[in-house]
Amino acid sequence: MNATTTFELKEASKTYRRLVGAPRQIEALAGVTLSVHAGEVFALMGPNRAGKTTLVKLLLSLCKPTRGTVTRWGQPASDRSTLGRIGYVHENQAFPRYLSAFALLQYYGTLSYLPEELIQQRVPQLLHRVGLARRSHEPIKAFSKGMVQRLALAQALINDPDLLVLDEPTEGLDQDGRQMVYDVVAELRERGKTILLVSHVLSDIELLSNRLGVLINGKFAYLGTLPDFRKDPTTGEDRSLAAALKPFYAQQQL
Amino acid sequence: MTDTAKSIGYEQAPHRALFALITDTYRQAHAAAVLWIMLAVTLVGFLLCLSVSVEGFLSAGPKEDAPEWLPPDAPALFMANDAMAYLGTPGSFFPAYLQTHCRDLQFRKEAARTGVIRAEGKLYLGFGMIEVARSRQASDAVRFLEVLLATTMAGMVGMVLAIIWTAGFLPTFLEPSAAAVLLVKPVPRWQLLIGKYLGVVLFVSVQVFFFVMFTWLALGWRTGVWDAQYLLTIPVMTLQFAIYYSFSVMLAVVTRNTVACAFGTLLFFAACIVMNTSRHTLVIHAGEAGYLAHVPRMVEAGYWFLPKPVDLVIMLSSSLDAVNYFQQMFEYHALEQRGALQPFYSVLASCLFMIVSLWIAALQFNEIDY
Repeated sequence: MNATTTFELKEASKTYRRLVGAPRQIEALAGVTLSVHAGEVFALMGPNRAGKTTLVKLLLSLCKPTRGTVTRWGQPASDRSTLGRIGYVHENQAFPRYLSAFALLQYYGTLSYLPEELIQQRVPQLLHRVGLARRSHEPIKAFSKGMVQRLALAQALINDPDLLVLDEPTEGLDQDGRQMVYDVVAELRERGKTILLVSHVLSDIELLSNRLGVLINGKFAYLGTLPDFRKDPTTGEDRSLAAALKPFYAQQQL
Repeated sequence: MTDTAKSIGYEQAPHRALFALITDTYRQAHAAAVLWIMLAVTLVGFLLCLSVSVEGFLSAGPKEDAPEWLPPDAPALFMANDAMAYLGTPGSFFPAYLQTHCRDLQFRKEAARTGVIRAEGKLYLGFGMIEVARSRQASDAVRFLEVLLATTMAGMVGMVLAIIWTAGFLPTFLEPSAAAVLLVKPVPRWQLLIGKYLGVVLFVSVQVFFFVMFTWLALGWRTGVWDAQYLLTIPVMTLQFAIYYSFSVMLAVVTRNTVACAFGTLLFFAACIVMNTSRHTLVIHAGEAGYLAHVPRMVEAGYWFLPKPVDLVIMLSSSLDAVNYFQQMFEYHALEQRGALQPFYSVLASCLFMIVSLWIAALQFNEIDY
């Protein structure tokens, strides 16, 4: 690990235990090692049940590894103060429907330990940036899925994060919304921030990421740059991302 | 502030986070209509008390006039000679107004001649349409109504409704798709849980405050009787709710299910009442002395381990002189006399249960995978 490492997983494993049903134990991650550095846009790919969500949860302290270690900026994941440097867009976010977009950002800003003046300054700016300024005082229950997704991005940016974790960030967004996500990622990358992108949308991956990891059955089947991944191992020719992924996805046990 | 926090200019401000969680609970209550339902209950109580009127006085009369439902030695209906003796007893529960009245020489003479002091107050509800109780002096009738409001309305019906109405607050909050982003904030998990718990308890305490204050003001305005003891209902019922809601918090962390929280907490509340009442009944039937020899150890241990809802109601009732109105209260008075009801330790043990429940819930919440 060096000074620019944003987060690191070393031989991290996670086994879920079930009280009922078979099998009783499910190994979601099996000894994964990964280092992501400042300024990187790292794309995490893999079919369903490959362990992507579990890896994100370990990184965000939403669950603890069964074996191995997880660190953020050199600190163990149990140190919650480093969570203050992270923004997270959840794949199926359910916000309190009784809050307005404005109140939600204030609420989440306070829970991020941001000073009150900073919250008052950032909330209108963020709402404007994600295109919700005009409807900032309407309850979220009146929002469409796309609007909720925009709000999810705004709340993830409230603390100006050093690490932005985007789990299916463009789901439910129209073309304008997708472009907004791309712009945000590009701007953060220019500022030296780290982005972890989890997505099934190949165009998002191709457009945004500069490094890629493909998880299959809880292990990295590929870890490297996007151009290398697209290179056909037999012919050496460039191929589509979908074609490159196909042989990997076939290995996944559902 | 940690080094990491300093480096990005954040201040750790747990009090602001707690305040935000409490505020959010109010918004949640408002959105779920619980706020309005509780205020509607308060309005009904307020209107009921606004419709109250009392009239009454003390008179002397033959002792055959004593109504059958009153306990034979009820202080509201004294043999004249006993009443005279009571006047000189320091700290007796002889109502102050009765003492004042009995100091009247003319009344004493009349009472001595006829044999009994008879309270002939009347309590009316519905602006005089319904007569509720006889044989009570005016302020005594108000106190009777206050005992009913504090112990039955707030203490039992209110408690059950509050448990049901607030049961969904935490499971909704802890639902994975809602909680995941909150749990990625730097606020410690236990603080999220305690913040929400405090929010719900404060919300209910404000509702109890409104109910008690408005009924107190209405009764005082209508009857001229301003009984400050009734206001004790606010802290006592808030504490009662805080204890049972801590159990609901534990269930919410484990199950994240509103129905499980509501029914589980109600069952637990009922179990505590049964344990509390059974233990006291055994003590009362054990005789004058040495009750511990007659109460099974398991029952005594269960009594001390579990919260004691009946004890809190007894303490509240005692402060309202309920001993004057209900036969049952005489039995509990006997508990105090036998040393089997120790208010301080009873409240302390119940509070300890609450703290342990919250502690277990926080530990569990800290370990749960999301």
